[in-house]
Parts: sequence; structure tokens; C-alpha cells
Amino acid sequence: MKHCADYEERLNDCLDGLLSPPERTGVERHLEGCASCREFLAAMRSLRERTASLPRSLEPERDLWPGIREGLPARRAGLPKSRAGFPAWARGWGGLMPAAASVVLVILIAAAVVIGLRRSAVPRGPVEGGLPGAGTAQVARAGQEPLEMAEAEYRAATEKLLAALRSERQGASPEALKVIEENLRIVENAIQEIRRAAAGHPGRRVDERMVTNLYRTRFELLRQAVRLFAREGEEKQS
Amino acid sequence: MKRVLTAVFLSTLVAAGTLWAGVPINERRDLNPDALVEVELVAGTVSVTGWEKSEMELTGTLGDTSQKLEISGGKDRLKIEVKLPEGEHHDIEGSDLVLRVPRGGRISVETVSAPITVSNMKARIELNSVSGDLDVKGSPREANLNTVSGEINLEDGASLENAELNSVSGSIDANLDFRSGGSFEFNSVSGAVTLRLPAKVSAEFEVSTFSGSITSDFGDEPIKKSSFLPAEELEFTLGSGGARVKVNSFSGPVKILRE
Amino acid sequence: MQALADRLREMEPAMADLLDEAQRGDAAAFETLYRLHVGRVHALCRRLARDPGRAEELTQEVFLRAWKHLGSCPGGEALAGWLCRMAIHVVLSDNRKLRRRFWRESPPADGVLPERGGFQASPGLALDLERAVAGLPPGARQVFVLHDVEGFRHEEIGRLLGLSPGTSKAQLHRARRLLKEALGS
Repeated sequence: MKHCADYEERLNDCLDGLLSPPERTGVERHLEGCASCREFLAAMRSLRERTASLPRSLEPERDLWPGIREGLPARRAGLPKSRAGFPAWARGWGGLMPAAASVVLVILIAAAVVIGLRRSAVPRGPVEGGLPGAGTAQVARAGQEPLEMAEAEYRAATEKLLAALRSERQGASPEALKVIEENLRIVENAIQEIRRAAAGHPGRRVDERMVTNLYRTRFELLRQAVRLFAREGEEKQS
Repeated sequence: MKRVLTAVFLSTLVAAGTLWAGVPINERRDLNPDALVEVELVAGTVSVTGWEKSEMELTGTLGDTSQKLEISGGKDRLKIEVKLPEGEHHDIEGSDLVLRVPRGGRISVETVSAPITVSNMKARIELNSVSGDLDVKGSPREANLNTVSGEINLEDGASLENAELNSVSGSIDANLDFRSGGSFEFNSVSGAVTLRLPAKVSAEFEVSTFSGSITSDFGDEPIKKSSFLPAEELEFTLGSGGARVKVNSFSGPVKILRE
Repeated sequence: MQALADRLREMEPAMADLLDEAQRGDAAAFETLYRLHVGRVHALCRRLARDPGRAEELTQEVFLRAWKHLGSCPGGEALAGWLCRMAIHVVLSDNRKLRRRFWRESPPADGVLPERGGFQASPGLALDLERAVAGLPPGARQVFVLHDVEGFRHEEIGRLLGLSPGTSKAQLHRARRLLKEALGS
């Protein structure tokens, strides 16, 4: 059953909310008497639903980073202008500003530190809008008000982890998670110790390497935890 | 008739998983001499030995019939995975993988609790585990060993040109001589780091710890930099320099021993 | 386990520092940004490219460009959108270059959907939407992706693709109709 060709545009516009109230009334009247157009509109609605659940993210088949890495030195990163006026020791990572009571701690994420990095940071596969027990994860759309995509995906990953923790079906290795949690505690205590020491000696340079190592380690531990759940999720999908 | 009945009986036993505690593995694949082999396993053990054949041989046992062994890839790059069934994974019956691969190739193993042992691999070794111990013997050129709470043991680091060993609470123990120069990094949060070196070694050392201790047998040249309480730093050069070695442990003891 | 979840939540502010580091030339921080966003960028490249086989190469080009212009990258929430717009720019430029080289519009690699007429799959076979989109002719596909997937309006799409908003709308409707046919009822 073919829909009415001259109504196609109007039906599409109706779906996209582009019709004025009188135009909409006209369409509705037509739909009352035209089954094929009703069917077309329903199909368009269903297509829109499916489109909404298309994955926002498609991981490439191979790791593209090495190719990018090669091209980096040739092109120097643009320095933000605001930093230009700072003295060298403050511009470098981890430099302490004497006025600040708190230490400026910089997070340096190395390629493969504690846990080898071979997969991306967040679970692969579609970042679905609705997760059991979680709020809808807003995912950035280029043409609309952008949300921090990493933050959104990260939040989705967190929600996924939380959902798994809440539900009765535990993760792939609850023992492993316990190990990670214990070690996270170790790292966090270490970070607290450094913070306390730095607060007690304002103006002294903290060993940046020490600090960045700790932050790096903490990040990798959390990512490992997410990956453990992600892998579980992946296998369920396959 | 009797044959059929036996077959039915046997297959019932197999289905019930009672005939074998584990499912034996026996696989072979052709590989290029410099192939990359990747292994993923959650629990059990992984043992990798390098040999002269241009071939992969995988033996061992799968923990139980619900686990699936997946091998994919080609002569250049092979991936070996033990997949677990859906659902809860408490007390997984570990799978034991015994692998022989071309010794000039690269090996990469990732496990959660399974310990990994690698010997006689000459090129690049990359091991990752959460709580499994990592044991490496046999003079690789490059090593990247990472664990959260497992123990890292590197027995023959003599041919290493490049290494990075990281742990959070596990200990690191390595035999090295830095003959080939190169760069080396050892990082731990609360685990102990022990480096065992020959009497004559050429390397630049940067050692730091926040609340741990630094003990070094090489007492003649170390210069203690001004310390930021309670952090300790030790930088010294042995011989004519050459290799660059960085050791960082937050609270674990660092020992640099002369063997 | 709750403690683990709480710690995960604490992680969020850390993301902001990544861009800072990358802007100061830190390749490792940039790599993390890459890993966080590559899926998104690659999805755009694959769906918008005239030749989807170039998706990986285009993705690399996007990140290399991003590195060069990182100084002007807005932080925080706008980072992702900035990268996406860069991806769209890179892909559409590349499309224009390809178009000039091949004056005849060649059918998509998949050849899943013919330009006109019926869809050739066996009746009753429901196609995966992603594949159906990949099978759309390039013009319709680009508008569909930009409008229905990415949320752009026809005015903006027209500017990006060099079309009038009216043509953009027509292409969208055509794409939707073709997809409906491809996916069965």
C-alpha cells in the first residue's frame, strides 16, 4: 500500500513538528480516511525510535593511536593564551603557586601504567539511553547543546557499574573487584598523605612525579574496574 | 546396539560434565616467527614458552564445559581467549593454558587472577593482571609488566633494552644488568621494589619514595638530594651511565642490591 | 561496593585536567582524550564519509587537526561538541575533494540500496539500521545522519553541504523513505 505521494512531505513535517496547528488539523483529517498514510506515519515513528537508539559511538577496528602519535611532534599543540604570562615553574605541570593553600595537582595519564591500555576507556558498544535503575544518559549531539561527551559516557559507564553492583548478578569477578577496591584505598590514602604534607609546607615543591603517578594509578584502577564489567557486558551481547 | 548405548551413555556423562573435571585443549596454528600472540583469561594459569618452531601449540585444560576457547586471527597475529558463560562468576573453575609460541614473536597476556609465567621469549612481553603473579624468565628485549596486587618476578633481565614494571600493592623483584642501555621504569604504590644488579653496572638512577625507605648497596656515589619530608630521593650514576632507570614507590621499601 | 561507586563519581572533575595537560603538549593526556572520544568521532566519519572505507584515515586526520588547534578548544562540556564539529568539517571537506575527483557519483561500497526502485533483499528480511544507513546514496545519507542522528537543522545542514534548506529537507524525506523500504515494514 503506497502512501499518498503529495502527503509525504507533510507527514514528514508533522513528525518533525514543523506544521502549524491548522496544517496539522488538515493532516489528521486526511489520516482518518487514509490507511496507507497512517501506516507510513507509524513506520516513520518507528524509524525515528530506532534511529534514536543507534550507537553514538563506533570503535574503529584497529587502534588508530600509533598513526596519530607519529603525527603529533610535527604539529605542536596550541598553548592556551591565558597561560603564556605565567613563570616557567608554574606553567610546568605540578608547579606550586605560592599563594594557593592547596597543591595544584595535575593528572598525567600515561599510555600504559599500572593496567595495560589496549581498549578504550569506556565500554565499547552502544551507550544506551536507559539503563535499569539509572537516569537517562544524555549523549552529545553535535548539532544541539553539547554535553561533555566523555563525561556522559563516563557517567553511563558508572551507571552501568552501579547497576551491576546493585543487581543480584555480580560482576565477572567479585574477588577482582575487591582487590581493586582495596588497592584504590591504598592509593587514596597515599594521595591524602601527600596532600597533608603539601598543606603543611606551602611553597615547597611537591615531587610531581610521585603525585602524577598516584593520580595515574587511581585512574587506571577505576578504568580497570569499569573494563571488568564492560567485558562482562560485551560477552553477554555476543 | 551396544556401541550406540555406550555412545549415548558417554555423551550423557560429557553433557553432565562428570566425565572430565576439565576439558582438554589441543590446538595448533602456523605462525610467523615474529607474530603477536594475545591471550585473555580470567582465572586459572597461563604458561608461555618460546620455541624455534613457526607455530603455536596450545595445550592444557578448560575449567569446565561451560567455558569456551576462542582462537582467532592469522599467521601474523593470533588471539586466544577463554570466554565465560553469562551470569554470576563466583568461584570460577580456572582454565590452565600451556602455550608454546615462536620465541622471536611478541606475547601479550591479560588475566584477572591467573598467574602468568613466561620463559624463553626474546622479543617483547606484555603482561597484565589484577591479582595474578607475573613471572618472567629468559632474557626478553622488552617487557611491560603490570599488576595490581600480584607479585612481579623478572629473573633474567640481562638482555632488556626497555622495561616498565608497575604494581599497586604487589611487589616487584627484578634481576638486571642494564648492559644494553635503554630506559627502565619501576613503579609501585605500597609494594616493595627490589632490583638486583651485578657489581659492575652502568646506569643513571632516579629513585624516589614518599614514605618508604631506600636501601642501596652501591654506597660510593649516591647523592641524597634535599628531601621534602618525609619523601626521599636518591639520584646517582654508576659506571659511565648509559641506561636510565627510574624507581618510584610511594610507601613500599626500595632495595637496590648488589648480587 | 558502594565505596567503589562513590569513588567513581569522584573521578569526574579529573577529566577537566586532561585537556589542560594536552594543551600544554602532553601527548599522553591527549591519548586519553583520544581514547575517550575516538568512538564518537569515528562514528561520524563512517556515517558521513562519501567513501566509508576512509573512515579510519579521516578519524586520524580529525585528531591530528584537533591537536594542532587544541589551544582554541573549549573545555568541559563543550569539548565533545568541538571535536564533533571538527569531524564533520574534516569529513565534508574530504567528500568535496572526492567528488571533484570522481565526477560520476558512484554507488556505495555495499551496494545495498539501489537509487530507485525496490529493495533487493529477500522479502521479510529485516536489515540492521546501521547497514541500511550505510547503503543510502551519499547525499541522502549525509542529510539523514546530520538531521536525524546528529540533530542539526536544515539551515545548518544546507550551509555545511552547500544545499538549500529545501533540498536538504527533500533529501531527508527521501532517505527516510528508502530506509523504511530497506527495513521492511
